[in-house]
Amino acid sequence: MEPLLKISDLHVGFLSYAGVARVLNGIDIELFPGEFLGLVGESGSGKSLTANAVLGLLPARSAVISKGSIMFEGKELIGRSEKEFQGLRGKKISMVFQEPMNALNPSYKIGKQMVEILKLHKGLSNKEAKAEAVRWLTQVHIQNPEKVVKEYPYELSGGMRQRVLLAMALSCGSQLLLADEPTTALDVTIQAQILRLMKETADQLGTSVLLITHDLAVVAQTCQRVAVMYCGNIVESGPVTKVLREPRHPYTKALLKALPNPDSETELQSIPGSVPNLLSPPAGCRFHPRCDLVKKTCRELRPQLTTVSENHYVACWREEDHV
Amino acid sequence: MSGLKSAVKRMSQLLIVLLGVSLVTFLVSHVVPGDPARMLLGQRADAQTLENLRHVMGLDKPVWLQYFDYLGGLLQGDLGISIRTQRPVLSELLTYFPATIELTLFAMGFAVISGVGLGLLSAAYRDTPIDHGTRVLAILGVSTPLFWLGLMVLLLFYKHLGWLPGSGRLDSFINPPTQITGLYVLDSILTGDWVALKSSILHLILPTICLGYIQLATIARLVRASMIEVLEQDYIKTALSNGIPRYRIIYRHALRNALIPTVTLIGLTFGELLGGAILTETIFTWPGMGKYVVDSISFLDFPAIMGFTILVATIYVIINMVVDLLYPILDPQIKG
Repeated sequence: MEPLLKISDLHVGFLSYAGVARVLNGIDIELFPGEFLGLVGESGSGKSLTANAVLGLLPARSAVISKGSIMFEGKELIGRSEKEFQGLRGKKISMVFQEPMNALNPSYKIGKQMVEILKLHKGLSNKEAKAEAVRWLTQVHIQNPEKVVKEYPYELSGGMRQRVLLAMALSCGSQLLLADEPTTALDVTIQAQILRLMKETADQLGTSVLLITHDLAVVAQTCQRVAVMYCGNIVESGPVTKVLREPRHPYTKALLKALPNPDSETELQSIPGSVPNLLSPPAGCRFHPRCDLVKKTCRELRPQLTTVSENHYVACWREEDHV
Repeated sequence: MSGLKSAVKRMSQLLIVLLGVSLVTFLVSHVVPGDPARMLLGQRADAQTLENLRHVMGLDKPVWLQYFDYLGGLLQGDLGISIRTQRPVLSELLTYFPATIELTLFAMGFAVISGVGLGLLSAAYRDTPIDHGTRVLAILGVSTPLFWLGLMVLLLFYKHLGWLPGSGRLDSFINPPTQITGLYVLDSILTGDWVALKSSILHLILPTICLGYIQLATIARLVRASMIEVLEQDYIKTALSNGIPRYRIIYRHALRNALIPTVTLIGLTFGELLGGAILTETIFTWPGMGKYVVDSISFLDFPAIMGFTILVATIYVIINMVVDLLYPILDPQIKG
């Protein structure tokens, strides 16, 4: 099957007074139609940046895509004009953000904000768009949609707002949803509801989802495949069951050990050291200063993703030792 | 009910402010040295005549009693009699009022429209030559003294280039339009007097620019700052990621939210412009309240000075009440 989204060897740098920060250092991601892919990693690893790059939303004055390609539906996205991106955003590729509290315009009613996009992308009349907005609010299980369209964002709870944002993101028939920590700002019970809703709606519509999160539990619940990011690189990717049960990369292993487990007697283990400075990242494998298993090659050469089992890829020099 | 209650509250606030304004201006104008009776009678008047006139004008009473007399008159809409012209201050002020309001409204329109426009441009093209250009324009606006700017534009556009008239409201050979509102531009449109319309607009250009320029600069800076703040908000990112074109994001999604602080400033601006009109009217010999009050000051005409101050203060307070009422329309979270 052809992937819907194929990012290959993507390099993104940020210009700063101190030099170029190489924030994405050659990442590869494939997302197939109808699939849920989790993108995990700590803050600053480049997850959100990847999503922004797909939508062409990188800050034009400071971000530079130095290498790589982003193919969507078999067509290259890098180098497209702002106008071409406008036609894609919200229509073919949508995004849901972390912070629902401020993600809706406080000055306009919910209905008006939904109608605006529906008219823009689907060319509906005002009346049709209004009906469509109500239908979409019903789809995301909002009670009293006729009343909610006449309300302002401040009158809704965080969970409700995230539902509205999800409805807006999907309402014009996007095939790809970039969900950037969509549940992080919500409390736990609402998180579960929103995730379930996202999964249910995306499955129904056949939408592919790139779920960005730092929460492995969220990935385990919703995704089929997961890609683990560290410092601008994908270090491991594969089916969720494989990656979470039999992690191969020392970073993934360390991440899993750092999960609190109420049944465990042992102390919670943290990863020693901290995320390196991206202005002068470590040579070789970017994880090597924090890795227990570091060897000479790790300090010199960047490991590439290699197959360890079916669909399971790891970028680590230690893999050579197993063979 | 709550609407009525807040209206009553606002009205009582208005009264308190006006009471304060009347007290302060009364005290200030009565502690400055100078004798209105002497001004009126001249240096050679004898002591008895002076005494009589002081008695007639109530100047021999204690100051607090004079204040209460004045306040009593004020409550009945009586601003006193002008010492200089011997006519009621209120009707005098009302004669000059339309000219000032016309100038103020034009200056206001100029400042708001160009200020908001330049601010938007500046924010949309942040850190580009357009932004730097508006910044220079704005800094010049804030730092140029009005009297200097007035003289310079007169020198350039009136004296050297001869493009625009430099004084009065109309060319001297043109009859003013039939009075309806007293605003020449409006009146000449209403009566279809195109000759007067053209002349009155031409006469308005220079004073409008001078009076409005400072406010334009302040508004442009504020709009730029609040636009930049709003453009960083999450909902702008949502709009972008939903494919809404950039120009539409700026004028529809960002501008309305950025205007909330600006509306406050615009309310304050109106007061500043009414006050600033004094200088502008003097420079351009504009027959408005400002010129009237300057003439009154040089004649120690206390009732006229106080009448002007109280009128301007009242308008100022009313405008700010209107601004308060505008907030709920712009920001649905503020309930009126």
